Amino acid sequence: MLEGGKITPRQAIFILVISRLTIPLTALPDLSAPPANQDVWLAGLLAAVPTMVIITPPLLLVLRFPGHNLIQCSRLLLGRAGAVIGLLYVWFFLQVGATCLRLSGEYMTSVPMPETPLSAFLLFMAVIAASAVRNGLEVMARMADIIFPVIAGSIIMVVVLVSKEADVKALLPVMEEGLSPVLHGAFTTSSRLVEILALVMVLPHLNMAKPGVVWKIMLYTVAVFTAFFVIIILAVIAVLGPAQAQTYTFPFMSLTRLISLADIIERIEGTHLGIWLMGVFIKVSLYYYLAALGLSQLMGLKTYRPLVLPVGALLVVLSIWLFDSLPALYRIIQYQIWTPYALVFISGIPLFLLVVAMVTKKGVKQP
Amino acid sequence: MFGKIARKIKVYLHKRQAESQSLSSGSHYPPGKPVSVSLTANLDRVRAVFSDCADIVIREFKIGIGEQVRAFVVFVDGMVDKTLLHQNLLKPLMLDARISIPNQGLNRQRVQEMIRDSTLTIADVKEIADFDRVMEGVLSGDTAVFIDGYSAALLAGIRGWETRGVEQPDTEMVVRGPREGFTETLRTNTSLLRRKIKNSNLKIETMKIGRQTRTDVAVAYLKGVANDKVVEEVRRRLKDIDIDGVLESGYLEEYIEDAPFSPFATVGNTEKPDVVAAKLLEGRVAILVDGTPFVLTVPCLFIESFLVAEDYYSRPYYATLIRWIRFLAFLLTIASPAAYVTLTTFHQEMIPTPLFLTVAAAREGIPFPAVVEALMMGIIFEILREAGVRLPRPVGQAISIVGALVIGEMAVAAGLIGSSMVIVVALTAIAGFVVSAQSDAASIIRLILLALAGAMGQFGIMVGLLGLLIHLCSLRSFGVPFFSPLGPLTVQDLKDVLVRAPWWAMVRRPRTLGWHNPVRQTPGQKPDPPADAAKEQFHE
Repeated sequence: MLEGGKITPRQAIFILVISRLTIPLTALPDLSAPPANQDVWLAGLLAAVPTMVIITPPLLLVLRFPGHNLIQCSRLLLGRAGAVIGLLYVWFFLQVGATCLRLSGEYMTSVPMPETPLSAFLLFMAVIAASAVRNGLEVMARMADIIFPVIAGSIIMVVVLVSKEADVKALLPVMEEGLSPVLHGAFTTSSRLVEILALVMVLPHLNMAKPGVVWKIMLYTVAVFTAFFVIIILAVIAVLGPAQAQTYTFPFMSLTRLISLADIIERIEGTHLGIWLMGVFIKVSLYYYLAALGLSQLMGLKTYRPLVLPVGALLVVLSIWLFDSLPALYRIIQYQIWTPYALVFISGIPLFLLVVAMVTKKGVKQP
Repeated sequence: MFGKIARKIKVYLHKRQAESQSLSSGSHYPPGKPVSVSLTANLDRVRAVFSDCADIVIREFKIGIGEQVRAFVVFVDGMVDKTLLHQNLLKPLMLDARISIPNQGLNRQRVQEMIRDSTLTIADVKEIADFDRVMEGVLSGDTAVFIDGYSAALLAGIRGWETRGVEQPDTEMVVRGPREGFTETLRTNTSLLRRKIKNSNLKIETMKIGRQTRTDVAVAYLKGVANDKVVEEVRRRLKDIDIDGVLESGYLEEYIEDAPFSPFATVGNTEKPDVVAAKLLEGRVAILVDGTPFVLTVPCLFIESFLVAEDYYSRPYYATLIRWIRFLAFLLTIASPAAYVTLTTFHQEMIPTPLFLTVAAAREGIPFPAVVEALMMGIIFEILREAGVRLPRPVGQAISIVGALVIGEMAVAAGLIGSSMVIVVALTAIAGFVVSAQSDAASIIRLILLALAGAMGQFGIMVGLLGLLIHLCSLRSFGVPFFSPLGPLTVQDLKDVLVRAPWWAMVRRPRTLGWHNPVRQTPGQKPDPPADAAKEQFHE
């Protein structure tokens, strides 16, 4: 094992939920995905079902090999070819991390500090994430313990404070165009749960990595995330209106801006910035860590720590190099590109590996 | 990076230690130099050891009548209770030995046993054959009695010297609660502890640390409550210390702490016996050092800085409220100058308009940018504080006048500093005193956050706070995560963090510390006053 640190199931849930909530808190690409009308919240709610389906292959795969994570499994099953798959995953983690890093920089330059160069934000964020990654998964998990209540409390607070601007009629009519666009939306939303890969990567570090516990973690993650996701989307649609909401770059931030209470609690988008930066930090460090961890396992290193700085440099470069601009970034995370792309990594490759494992009868069979 | 430097320093220190140990073996006290049979030889040795030591008293005398036995006592003048020495040691030996029946037939073979068992009316008498240990005892304040013909000396514990009485400590004042504080004498301190916990499970182990000073250090813990591994770790770390002098517990703190490069102290200290007793009851270990009233406690958690003894003596609601005020004060003291700078220079849009107009009017015509202003005022405040701490009282007033009038009033009137900045700095300073245990760490964090805020605004502050959080979460104190029970979160321990639960509800000890003996009281002791009908019976 590469790291002695252990994390508890609750910490795992917190990390995964924070990480998954980061994108809805800013970009909210689901708004323009089908059904792209007032029914998006319904799609978000129903997404829990396809989510549980697509996360099954990676979980089943990793549970067959206790003490091994996804990349180690693929190496066990396929040898050299497994290393290629491992590299693909490292690339994927880097890409997710870089996307999120770039998003944080774009957010900072577009709203609060337009004159500061983008790379300054990227560097600062990468340095602080590198420091977390160096300290290891355990420290990141502890931070999630503190950050999750803050984020959860702030979201609820924002929604409560903005509720007087809400117009419930904006949510009507329900299922204007029938059920099928909603189901399509549920499917695309479910494909955004890349965090399942994070779970199957850190599984060996999990305290009590029994199959039952692992399934429960996933169940709770999906449940907690869906609850917050639906609350966010309901608030955004009810306050901004479904058509209007799609035009905002950062809908939830715009929502926070509308809060005005007793002439003193107003313009509190600073709160949004604060909680969102915390979330982004957790997400960037998580994928940064996974990339470094995966790479070190592929290279057969005893510890991933020597790779922290090189991977960090790669992350910053990728975050600048992958996207020309914010619209380009948004195009990639739109459902047309993202859903098939992510599904390959979330379900496709693990399903293939699972079939290989079953055919070659490797690993422990789960009941 | 720090880890690498630390490792290098460690290697270097080990080398130094190995070298110095080989050089200094003489000054240690290895066993095996016995007390001589000949009194004259012993006397010569004692005189040689204590040559040029003006405070050493050597008194020669003879015991018994007829065939007298020669003897002498050695003690350090000023460290021995003279009355006890005269009444219970010299008088029995020189006078009573002649008349008392057991000593009548003075048998040279049994004289020492006779003296030890039936002549010296002193509780603490030890027979020691090792010459160097005898000398060590004398230096610690014991009185040594050498008797002709015996290869051992008697060490009588009749210490007595000038000490400060038990007073209320200045650093931790309370309105309600015990007012006694530790003193500079180790024995007094251990007795203060023993009086709080009258239980044989309170173990107090002593050792000597300091090549030159040979300072007494005591490790106190509650057996069965404290984690044995932590106790063993404390012993090990203390034993490894090789230092020439220990003048204050702060010396030891730096040798046993887990994070030498952190601004946060991972070893706690207090002057109050009731605080130490409470910590022992929660499963901590205390380290008492002779010569200082400050007692160290480990493991130490970050949250302990926010808990005050009085929280537990007053009613829980107010204690909870005050505890939240302390959290707020800590946030204010580390972040308010940074927040002020970022709000006035980067994010004016976040302040409500009327408030912004007021602040902008106050800053009108100030020649410095807000971050420079804040930095200047911060440094001036630190100077004022440092000047005020050690000043004799009559001069102290001058400081207050200069500080309040010249810097406060005149700088604003002259238009050098904005009046809102003075308010922010004053708030920072006062809030800093609320959590005094972390005030030095807070000063450092405040400066870092200020610099980050000046450079990057709110983003800078967030990066700084996240960095702080990473640091806090990565620290450990004797195997316990420093930031627990918040990170890692231990929900059941929040009863004594976010609120101060009533005593009858705090059934369990903190999980991170006392996990192997968790229950500290019988559950379900919530007061249950009789119902109305029964209450009326009292009035009849």
